[in-house]
Amino acid sequence: MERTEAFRPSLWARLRTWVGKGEIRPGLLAFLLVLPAILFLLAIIAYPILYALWLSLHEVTLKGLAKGELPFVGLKNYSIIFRDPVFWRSMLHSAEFVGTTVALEVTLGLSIALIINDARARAFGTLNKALMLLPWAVPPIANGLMWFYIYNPSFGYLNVILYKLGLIDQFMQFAGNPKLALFSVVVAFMWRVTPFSVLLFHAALQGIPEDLYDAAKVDGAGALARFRFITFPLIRSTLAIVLVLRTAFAFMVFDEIFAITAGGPGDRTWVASWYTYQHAFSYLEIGVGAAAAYMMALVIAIITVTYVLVVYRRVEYA
Amino acid sequence: MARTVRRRLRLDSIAISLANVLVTLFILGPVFLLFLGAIQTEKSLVEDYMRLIPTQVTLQNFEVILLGREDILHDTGFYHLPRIIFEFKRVFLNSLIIATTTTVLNLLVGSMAAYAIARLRQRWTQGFMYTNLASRMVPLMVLMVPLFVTLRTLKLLNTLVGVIITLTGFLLPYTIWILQSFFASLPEELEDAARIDGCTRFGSFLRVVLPLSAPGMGAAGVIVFILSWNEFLIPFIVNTKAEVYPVPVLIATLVTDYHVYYSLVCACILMGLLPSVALALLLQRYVTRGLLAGALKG
Amino acid sequence: MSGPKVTRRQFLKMAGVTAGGLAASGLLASCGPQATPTPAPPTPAPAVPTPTPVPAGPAWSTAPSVAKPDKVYWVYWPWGKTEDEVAAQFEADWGLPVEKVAEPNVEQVYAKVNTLYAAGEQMDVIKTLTPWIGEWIDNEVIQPLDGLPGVDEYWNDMNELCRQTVKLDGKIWGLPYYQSFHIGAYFQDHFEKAGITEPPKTYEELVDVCLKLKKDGISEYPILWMAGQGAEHLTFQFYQLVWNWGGTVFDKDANPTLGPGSKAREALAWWAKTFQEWKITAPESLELRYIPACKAFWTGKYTFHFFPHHYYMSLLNSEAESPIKGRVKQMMCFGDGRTMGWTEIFTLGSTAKSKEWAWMLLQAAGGKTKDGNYTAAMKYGIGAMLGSGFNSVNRHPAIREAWKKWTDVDLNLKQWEKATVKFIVVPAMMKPWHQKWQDAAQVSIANCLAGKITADQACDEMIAKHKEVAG
Repeated sequence: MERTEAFRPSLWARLRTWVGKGEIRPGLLAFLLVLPAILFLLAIIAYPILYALWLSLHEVTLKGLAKGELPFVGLKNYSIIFRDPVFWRSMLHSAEFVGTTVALEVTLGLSIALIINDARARAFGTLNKALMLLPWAVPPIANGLMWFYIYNPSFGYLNVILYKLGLIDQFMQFAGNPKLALFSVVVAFMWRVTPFSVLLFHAALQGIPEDLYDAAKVDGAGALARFRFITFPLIRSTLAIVLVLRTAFAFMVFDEIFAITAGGPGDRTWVASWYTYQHAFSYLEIGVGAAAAYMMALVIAIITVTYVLVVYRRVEYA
Repeated sequence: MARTVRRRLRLDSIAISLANVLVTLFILGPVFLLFLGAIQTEKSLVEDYMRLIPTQVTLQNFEVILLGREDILHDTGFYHLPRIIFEFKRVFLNSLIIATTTTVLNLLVGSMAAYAIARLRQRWTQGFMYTNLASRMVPLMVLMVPLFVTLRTLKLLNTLVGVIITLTGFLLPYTIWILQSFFASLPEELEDAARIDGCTRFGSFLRVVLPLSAPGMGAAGVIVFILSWNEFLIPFIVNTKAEVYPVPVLIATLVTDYHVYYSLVCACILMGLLPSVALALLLQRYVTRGLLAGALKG
Repeated sequence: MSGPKVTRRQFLKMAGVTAGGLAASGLLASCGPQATPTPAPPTPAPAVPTPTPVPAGPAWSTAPSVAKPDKVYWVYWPWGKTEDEVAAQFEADWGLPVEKVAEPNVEQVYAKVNTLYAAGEQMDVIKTLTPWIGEWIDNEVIQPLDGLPGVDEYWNDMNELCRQTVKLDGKIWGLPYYQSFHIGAYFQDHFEKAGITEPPKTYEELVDVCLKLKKDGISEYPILWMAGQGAEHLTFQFYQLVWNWGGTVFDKDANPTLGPGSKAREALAWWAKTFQEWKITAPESLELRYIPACKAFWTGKYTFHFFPHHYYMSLLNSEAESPIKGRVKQMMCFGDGRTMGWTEIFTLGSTAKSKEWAWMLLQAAGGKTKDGNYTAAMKYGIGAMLGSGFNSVNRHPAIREAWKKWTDVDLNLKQWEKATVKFIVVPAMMKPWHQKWQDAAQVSIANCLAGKITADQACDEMIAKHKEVAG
């Protein structure tokens, strides 16, 4: 866009004229504006990704780092991981965790969105909408420790409540129970992240015009039919986005595992991120840890690509 | 006929209202239980554990944490206290510094980049946007291993600076994404008008776009602040000295078997989550808009 | 929860990552001392021809003739405010400022010391856990008390458990911080309800009592073990059980004695039975360790509790906090009453600027302050029932008076005399491979107790693991 003659040139324009530069070309301006961000991203994301790749191809120990001796070992770290049954168990647990979490999150999220969106209890709905972000805002590590406390097998609140409701006749173990440990973390994690899904579904539901429902009611459609033929198709794209996003997110769970089970009992709650953390920072096998982290990144990349394909395909249809 | 319709409607409303109450319980329940734990003494917590609502409440746990009143707990349990809780004020300050600085940096750097993408549409800005999007999906674990080694070499371990730089870089893609969608949604005519008046592009950025996008900046700012406050893994790996711990790491160190003081821990967790929760609830509209902008395309 | 939280070992390793420098990485790579300490008869400190003149008075109240350094550094994890008070007293006594390097949790002191040593920083007195001693001797992080005045007198006052810990390779490496040993206790109220007057004296009696308590509906699960997986907890309980049973887990040459027909196997099988067959053990035992287990016992649901620190009696019977205070009674260990004990010590940093003045601080921390009292030990003992390495402290009337409210002092002293230091109970503890073996052993033991594998299988697994790690 050409700069036309002005009555009062802006301060910047005057400055530039004085300096003799004129206005910066848009291309240069864009570059300058983006430069700090690019520097940060290069330093904190791009460089580490490449460095992690490099680390994963070398044998990296603390001793080696100090001496500067980091022998190249090719794909040895990767083969260590692939031959480690704990790695595959961790991936399996991750899959279990993600599957359960996302299924619950989406179901619960949609249900809650429908409930608070319902005009028949507007006051309650408004209250819940105002409170909805509370769990989302809780620091994940605090969330984990809070649930750990609730799960205490000797005097924790969950046991007390279940006992009082007559659902159990003896206090149970949750976080320390091999059968329930993973699910315990699922519940804690899900409590914190469901509001995000509620938010997205709620926004999507708001976008559905009331008349569609009214017309359907006139035609005699019941609640279930209305959901099946109106609500669901129109929020399908949101549903797809939520599914994919939340899957990637659930795959990266760490804080809650740390606080509630620390991978236990045994290795029952070892998940992908925990495996990586243990090898990199606990056993100090940094090369192996980097390789495991790369495997994690690969899974997330697959999920992300799905996300991109899904979103762009959906948007085109919409 | 009308009467049965009305009765059915009433039942419906009751059912939905009940459902809403369940939702409220779901949201508030766990935190309320935490609160119950925080307002009791260690003794009353364990003594009458079958009573959910305690008969005696006390604020002594908060006094200990916030006022450093060590004299309150003078019994043998005192020796088993997690000593770190007496550093709470300092830790809280660390969190404040980290979250504020990260937010300011993010908004500064992020808004410039977002403007470039949204308005100064060059051939490569689209590419940058996609790169940015991809960066959001990189799991933190992949970054922490090499970053740890790098920070160690740069002697930035155990510093607030190291945490701030890492956190800023990590959250930047998200910030840029949110902001560019806000900027893109602003009507172009206003900027055109400014340019006709002789404003440079950068000038119109400063004078027109930024002020108009205050809600967007607010949204991004609040979200970044909350996410920085809540961040655990980065400072946990980077720091081992209590002086530079932020609140989440303090909470993590309460996860030990050597010094377990349940009531104090509950109070600590409560104090730890209050800032984020308060911000999110008070500025809920901003957060919601930011989250929605950040999740969907535009 | 039986998985480790931020266990000591995890924190050690994780925090140890920040230890920069060759020395630090060398420390992390090396493991454990090479020699097994053997209990030696007390010998006087070797006479060393150093210029320090024989002090005119007692070592703890006579200033060394050398110049004072600017300050002395004390590295420790705090136990209440005791160290603050002792440091303040030291400063007042000698006019020498004490720089307190206090890490909130014990796990972090290990890494902190390594970092400081690698950076060549001054460290005078270090509060040390025995697993670290071997490594630190090897890497010269700490120095022995050779040639220092007054060491003999301390030695003469030390009890066996202490001597066995501080004397390694013929040299004395520190003064005691505290002493502790494994004991058992019971909840009196349950006994009264069941009409039981005497605590059981054998394992068979224990099972009988428990079955009765269970049948009478007094306690669903009468026994609470500290059996959570983690730093060393589960294996410690196993070591103790086998020792008291009359067997060993490792012989003197650190070879496992877990074969078929061994006492260890027998004990493990019995232990698993308490979980699976008789169901007299609380299942949550597999999730609990240390303080959480004590606090679980406060609920009054359980009858018996076995734990590694006798001073937890002060927590179980805590005047201000325990709902069942005064109702928890200590009982003698079964059979001949033998049990496992240990001492944690204060050591002398090798980077001290002045060995003589570091010794003065070490004395204040682990020995006598200028006024001739075992100030720190008395504080630890009276405040929190920590045992001392010195006989004169343990038999002091003030200590007796303070401990009366927490336990039967005479019974406790009797039990104390039957404690053998853990290095003799388990010689393998000093081996470099022990930690790795322990991690795997805990999984085997936990699986056995949970009924997933038999005691035979668990023992076989442990033997196989030993072969793998020890070579």
